[in-house]
Amino acid sequence: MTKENFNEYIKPFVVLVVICLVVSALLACTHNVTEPIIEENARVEAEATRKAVLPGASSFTELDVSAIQGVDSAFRDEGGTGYVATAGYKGYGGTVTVTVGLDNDGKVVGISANVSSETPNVGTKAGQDSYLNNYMGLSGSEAEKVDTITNATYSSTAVRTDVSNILENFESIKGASAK
Amino acid sequence: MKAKMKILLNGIFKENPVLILALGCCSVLAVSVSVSGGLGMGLALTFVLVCSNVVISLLRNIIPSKVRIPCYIVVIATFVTLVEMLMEAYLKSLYDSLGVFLSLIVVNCIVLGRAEMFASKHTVGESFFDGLGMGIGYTMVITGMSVIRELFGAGTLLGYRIIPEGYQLSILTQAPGGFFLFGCAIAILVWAMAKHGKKFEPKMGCDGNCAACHSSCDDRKEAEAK
Repeated sequence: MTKENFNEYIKPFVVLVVICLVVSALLACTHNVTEPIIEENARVEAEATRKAVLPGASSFTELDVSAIQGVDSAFRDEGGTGYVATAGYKGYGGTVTVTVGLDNDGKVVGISANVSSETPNVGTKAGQDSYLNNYMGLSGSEAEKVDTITNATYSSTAVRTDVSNILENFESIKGASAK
Repeated sequence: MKAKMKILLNGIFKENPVLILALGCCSVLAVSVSVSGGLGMGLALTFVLVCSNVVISLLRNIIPSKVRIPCYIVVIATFVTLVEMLMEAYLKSLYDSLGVFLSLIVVNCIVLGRAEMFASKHTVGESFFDGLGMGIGYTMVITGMSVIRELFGAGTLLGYRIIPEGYQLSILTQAPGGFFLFGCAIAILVWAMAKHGKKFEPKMGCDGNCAACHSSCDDRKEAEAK
């Protein structure tokens, strides 16, 4: 093989492969370091959200809610204060995920909504306490009656749909077995 | 050292990547709604830019020109992924506020543009200062815009309320307000340059590199002939 042929056909290939191998190794090392931290962060964050919507809860057991339409996940408090469920419904910019804390009768005792995908200062109003407090104490099909927010109909409808899905399925959540 | 300083200042003022080269506008418009987001994005981009410039400059005699773009992209993507993983682990709130724009640094024209136009032809030291200057220039613009947008659009600064609720120009926090402000910033720059007797001449740093050039070569040759 001549030198020209090598430079023309083999060298580009070899250089690119070597660069890719080196960077893959580098990234694998970083990933090994950061992955446990990232997982721990996600766990702590989810735990904090659950504790915030169900004050007084001690520790949570995840329930198997794969059969329940409209409910993403549900947890039972081992201390017996109640349940926490999350649901996601399409808002204006993406999925609006709502986390609801329920007492043993299926009444809302705490609620938080992730509206980070909604329009700032417009759709995000649906995630503020002043709106979410309208859902406090409701159960069953009562959430349907809560008004949406003018100008932020998509975002607030998403919140309402999430809450309704959870409340109306409360009996099924209660009866679900541990995961 | 003086030459290095010139390269550094070149990125900040004379060839400011956002206002004069008009590169990377997408992330500037999208992320400049909050000061913390803007500053974080600027620093992340500066880090990627400096690192990729240095590495590409180191490899400039090894990388065959046939596969140079894939090589650059791999190097840039590596640093972006590094920043992404480290930020998700140690600066979660910033990671959440930057969202998809953090990973989109990979295709940010500033990074690839400097790799192609500068780092592949200059020494490691010069490339380092070029990356740093361009990064600072970008950070200054995005932070400046986010201060105005957050202060007048949301009435807060770094999350603290400055202007009472109800007195905001909400449009500033949205895309049209961003474009409006971006246009104003360029207009002010042109005006300031004209006042100092300098002609506004956007330099693309062509160097005969057609891949990164906006105008066609025939037009340029014609213009030069005249």
